[in-house]
Amino acid sequence: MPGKRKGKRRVVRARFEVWLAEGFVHEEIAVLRQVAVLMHIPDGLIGFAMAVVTWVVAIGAIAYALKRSRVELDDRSIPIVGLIAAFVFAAQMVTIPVAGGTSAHLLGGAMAGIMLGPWVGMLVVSVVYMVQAIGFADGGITALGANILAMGVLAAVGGYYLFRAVTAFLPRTRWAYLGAVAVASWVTIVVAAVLVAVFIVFGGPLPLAAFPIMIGVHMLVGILEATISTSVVAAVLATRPDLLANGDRLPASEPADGREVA
Amino acid sequence: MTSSSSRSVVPFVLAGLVVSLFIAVIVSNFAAESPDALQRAVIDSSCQGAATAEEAEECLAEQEGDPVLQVQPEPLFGYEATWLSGLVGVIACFALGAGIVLLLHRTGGASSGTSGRVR
Repeated sequence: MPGKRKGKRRVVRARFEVWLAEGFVHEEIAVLRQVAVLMHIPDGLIGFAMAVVTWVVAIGAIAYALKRSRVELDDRSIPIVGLIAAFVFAAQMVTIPVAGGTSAHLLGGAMAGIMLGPWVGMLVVSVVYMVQAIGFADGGITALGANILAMGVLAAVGGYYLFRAVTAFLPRTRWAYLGAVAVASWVTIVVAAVLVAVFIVFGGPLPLAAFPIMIGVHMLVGILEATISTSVVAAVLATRPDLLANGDRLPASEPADGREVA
Repeated sequence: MTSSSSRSVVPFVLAGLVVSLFIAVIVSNFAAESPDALQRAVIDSSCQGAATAEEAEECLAEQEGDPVLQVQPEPLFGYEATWLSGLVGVIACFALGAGIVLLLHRTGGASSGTSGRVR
């Protein structure tokens, strides 16, 4: 095992031992395990009060996003929005091995926000979480508000503005653009993990030790997120840059008029 | 948006849907079976001898008497087949996503035609 990898694993293990020392065992391991990497919070991990609060805030956020989206969308957007929702759903089905013999999958919030704009992007990933929760029991119904807040609102809106902030200081090149996508994706995953930890610790039964575990795990998972998100955005950038939001941030060599590059 | 933004999105959307369906229906069947990060932490701390995922699972099952090691969430809607879940989910997400936008558009979207999506 290469040294770097071993180091990371040792960190995760050290955190886990702290967690065990607090007398926190099997059922919770099973539950937190699912939350930790798939990030979708299942039912039963969020108390009634937190469920109500997160649902109310999430509904407010969706209402606001619908209002804002109305201005951002044109009729070409109809199939594009459907497509990105379908793609994010598909991508979330595929768990991929990441460093240290572990696995995780794409969440795609930042990617959707950067590609479609913050509010449309947020709606797209919210649609995915609704379909997953209602149709497929992936993430709880009571936890749907919390899941939408962490992986939808925070990831898409936060990812979008972080991307804008990063690219504001960079030259308009392809590498800067894609680098900013990677940074935004990674950061939003780690911050979303913190928010999920807030929900399940302060609104649920988990101990404070969930924080270091969630953060540590997602610093690794974020690398996968950044890799996939950047690849997808790169593919769109190469074929249809005119479909990307953030037109003012496109590389100078890729004018937003849809020049064929492929 | 520049003038050529009227270029059709249909080929792009069709290509994207084919890719999405391919991922959801075919690739998802090969989703990683290796333990996720937290499982790995469990294995590292209590099942250090285990070399493969199978061995680790056995070791963990012994330790806990309980299958903690399901990588995938419970398959869904009672569908046994991953590909069917993928197919249904992709279609549902496309329909719902496009449907919401269509509805927004119909109910007096401020921007009809070519006004930019770019903020």
